[in-house]
Amino acid sequence: MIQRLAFLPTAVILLTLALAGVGLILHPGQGGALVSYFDAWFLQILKFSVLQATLSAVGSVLLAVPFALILATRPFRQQWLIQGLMNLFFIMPVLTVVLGVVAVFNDWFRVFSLTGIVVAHLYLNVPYAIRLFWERLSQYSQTHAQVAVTLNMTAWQRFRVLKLPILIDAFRPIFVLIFLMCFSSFTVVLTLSGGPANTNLEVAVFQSLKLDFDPKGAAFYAFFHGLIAFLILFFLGRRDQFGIEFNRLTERQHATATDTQWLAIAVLLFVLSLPLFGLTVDALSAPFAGSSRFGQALTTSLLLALGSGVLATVLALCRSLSKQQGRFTRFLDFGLLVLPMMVITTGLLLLTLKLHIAFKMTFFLIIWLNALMAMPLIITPLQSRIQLYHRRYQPLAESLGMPARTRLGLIYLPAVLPLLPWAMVLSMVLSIGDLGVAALLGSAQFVTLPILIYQAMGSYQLVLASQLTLILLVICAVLLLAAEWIGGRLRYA
Amino acid sequence: MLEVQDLVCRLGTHRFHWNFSVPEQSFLAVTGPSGLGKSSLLNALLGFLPSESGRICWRQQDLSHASVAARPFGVLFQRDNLFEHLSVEKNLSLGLSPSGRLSGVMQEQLLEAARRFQIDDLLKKRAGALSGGQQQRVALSRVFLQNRPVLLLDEPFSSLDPGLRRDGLDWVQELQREQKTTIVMVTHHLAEVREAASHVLEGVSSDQWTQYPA
Amino acid sequence: MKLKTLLSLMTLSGTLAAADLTIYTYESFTGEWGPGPALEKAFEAQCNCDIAFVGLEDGVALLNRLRLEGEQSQADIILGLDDGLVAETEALGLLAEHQQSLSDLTLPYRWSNEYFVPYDYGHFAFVYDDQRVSEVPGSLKELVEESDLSVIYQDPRLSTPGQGLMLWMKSVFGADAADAWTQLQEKTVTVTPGWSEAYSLFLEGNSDMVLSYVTSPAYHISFEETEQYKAAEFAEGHYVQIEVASALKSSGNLPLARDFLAFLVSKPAQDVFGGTNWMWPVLAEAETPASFDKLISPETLYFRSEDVAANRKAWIREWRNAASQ
Repeated sequence: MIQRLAFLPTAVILLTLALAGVGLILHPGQGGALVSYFDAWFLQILKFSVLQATLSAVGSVLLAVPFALILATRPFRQQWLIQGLMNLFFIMPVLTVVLGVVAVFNDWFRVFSLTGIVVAHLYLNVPYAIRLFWERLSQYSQTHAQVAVTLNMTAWQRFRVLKLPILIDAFRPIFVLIFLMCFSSFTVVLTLSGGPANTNLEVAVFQSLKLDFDPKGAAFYAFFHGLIAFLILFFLGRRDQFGIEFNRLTERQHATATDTQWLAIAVLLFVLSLPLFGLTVDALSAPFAGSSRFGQALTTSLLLALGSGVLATVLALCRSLSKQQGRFTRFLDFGLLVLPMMVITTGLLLLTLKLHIAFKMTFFLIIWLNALMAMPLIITPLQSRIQLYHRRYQPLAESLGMPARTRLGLIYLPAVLPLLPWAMVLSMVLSIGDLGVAALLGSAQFVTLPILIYQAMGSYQLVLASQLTLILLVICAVLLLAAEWIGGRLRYA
Repeated sequence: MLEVQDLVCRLGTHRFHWNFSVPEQSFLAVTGPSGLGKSSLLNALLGFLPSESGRICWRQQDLSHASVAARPFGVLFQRDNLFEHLSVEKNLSLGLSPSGRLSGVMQEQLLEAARRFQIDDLLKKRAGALSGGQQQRVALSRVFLQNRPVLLLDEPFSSLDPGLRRDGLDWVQELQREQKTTIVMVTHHLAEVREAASHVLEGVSSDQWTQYPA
Repeated sequence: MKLKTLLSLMTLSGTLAAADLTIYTYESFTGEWGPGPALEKAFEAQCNCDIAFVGLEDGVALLNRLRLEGEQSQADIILGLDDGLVAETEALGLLAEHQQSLSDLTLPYRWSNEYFVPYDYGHFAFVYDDQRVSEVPGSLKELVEESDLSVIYQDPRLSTPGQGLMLWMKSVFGADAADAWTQLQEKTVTVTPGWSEAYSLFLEGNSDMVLSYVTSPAYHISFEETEQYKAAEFAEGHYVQIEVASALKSSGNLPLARDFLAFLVSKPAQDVFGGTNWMWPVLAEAETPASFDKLISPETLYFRSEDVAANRKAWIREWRNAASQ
């Protein structure tokens, strides 16, 4: 039964890809001959795509590790607050980050360039990477730590023995995840490109489907996008299990952070909040005019977010239970990140149009696609917790003959329980901010908060758009902080 | 009778070969230098380590293809014998019913066992919060509630001080007497169990083991 | 309670099917700051019927949606394409003739299309902040070749203003457009996916000029009471964008759809466009915000839609290669 549950996300992801594929085949557009796409331009965007994603991912990981190490030295009472804020930066509306990065750094260097693109990606991803490394590092064995102290190990030796293996183990999945996210980055790359020379595959796909109305070109670029994603997963996606992590179940939270921790927090908060400064100034520059549809937009956004949050969490949990971790199946952990979203959305939209259910399905499609996009971002910690408990308790459970349901309830659920609020809320807020899917499908008569912001911007209401963005961020912050607080409660209960 | 007939297993580069038999209600101490495969023997008996050839028989029935839970074994591992995040009560109830759901009668049994092992005041506590000696008693009382014909022990008390090790062994012997349990116990300290043991299985190399009366 | 809301949301298709007229348009048209709500109210009062707007990303998305849906389209009317996309849309063979007399409309160039009704228009322009820029180029040539002002514009592969600039450059520089693009690239801060990104970056002071509309300063005059934002008038003329609407052949209610098209160019509707869509109405006597009086009125440049359709790919490629250098 557990393996059947684990198969659920596999089925959903493969079904989505297959349906999107069928949809694209039905696409009425005509493209050129396949060979016509192999040109110098293609090589240029291929090179640029890989380059910018590699730089962004390497940079994110390198910057995240020292902060994670400091923050994880020991738990402190306010850590839920910091963790919540980290997540907030991760889900920040891309345009806010772009405008912020431009405002902060344009005097220092040319931001409309590869450097600017990488910096914007760092803003979006470093906090997330810190959060993931922190999560993993806070699980190293307390017993081992005590042994290390009694052995009179130097700080460096302790790092090498206790933390380095965890970092190495965590490095690959986090690197791969961030690589894939930056690889399929759209607004950041396009807005900060400085011109068409800096184009990536995702942008090329978008352009093919837009004015060119060329599904062949889109499929061509999407194929290479998928191929590179697959190669990265094939060579780097492997998870090593050192098996030295242990939940520090018995450890209590210390009263306050150490001085080093405070310093790290201060630096992080300062650097990260710089881009928010412009937004806040903008938003406060005029009284809030509001919108008559604000309540409706908020309700719809929250409902959509709730739907995809639940679905993403269920899918990630099921996937975490899977024993299939082979080279060819691990791409499933990355859900739909391996292919450009535009291709999948267009394919599904077409299919629903052909079946005459497009408008009936809009709501479900938004939930469905957002859930699959959020799943890979929450799966890593869930998976490592579940496998930790699996390795530890599987023999006992087997020898007791515990049925699958009992194992789920008594072993795996407690394993992930402290992380569930985080996973659920992170996938929720990721979907609250969704504009892409909703805008592409066409919002029949409902309006979401991002659509409202988009409409405001398109009608010169830039201040109102800033105000609505700020409100959106505050809502997300409240949700995230609540999740971390509850999660912390569950962890140290 | 528990019979292990020319059982061959492989783990990495090791090849194990076991051939021995244990009469019912007797106490077999498995000993020998580290790395020979004492724990692997228990894993093979339990079915965690697949066999290449040979048979495991209990009361003339071949167990080689039975599922782990269908085998007549209760077990205490070296560690992780309790679900540390669950309450003592929940841990015990899993010994009575694999789903953890208890009938009224079972509830009574559980309380009785808890009183007997002097853990009745710990029932609501999380197992991970207990001391080593308390955890030992909880694990033993769960094994007691399981009431399986054969109890496999993989140095379960090795991390405890000598006094608690002695206590543990006393409890095991009590189980053996009262529930007519057959005991197979892996140990480093043959001297400590010599009195309790009726037979000894000693490893010379991974594929060479000799059995003799204690 | 939640379930009820959810159900009502999911059955929105119901309200859509129940609407007498479904109109596909772009997202910002339907918002409360766009013309959608006012038009809906006015027309519903007049026809005693129910109309529903479906907001899609932008004009190009609108055309693509129509291409995808074909004859099974749920739409009765498609509203918000621009004149550059007219030929390609007609070629789909999905449109119904509008049967309106458009002779009393005031348009930048003569309109004689039997499927599309034009409802507003605007010339593209480079907008600048006169607190910051003193030497304003007097022509596109001057901007490209001599001026050292920095610019932000939109991607011609993705957005209609970007398309507009491409066509503008092509109509001014013709065969020399590639060189002009290369020159312009040196002054280009960045190329954005859409209008909003470009305009926001400009307002935050990241460039001297931004590609927008002649009418953009009117918004700042009306709502921010500032005249610092101005559109530069170029001697060669400005490329124009005419926004159009058409009924679909497949509509179940063609007479009503045609009524709506007639309504679009009637005074009550035309009065709405100036102050909500920030475009010029096509009816001379329509009301516009007072700020419109302060706008420049440049000469018009345009291509025939057929020529745009035939050359778009080549021209985009020309831009791409020239601007990548």
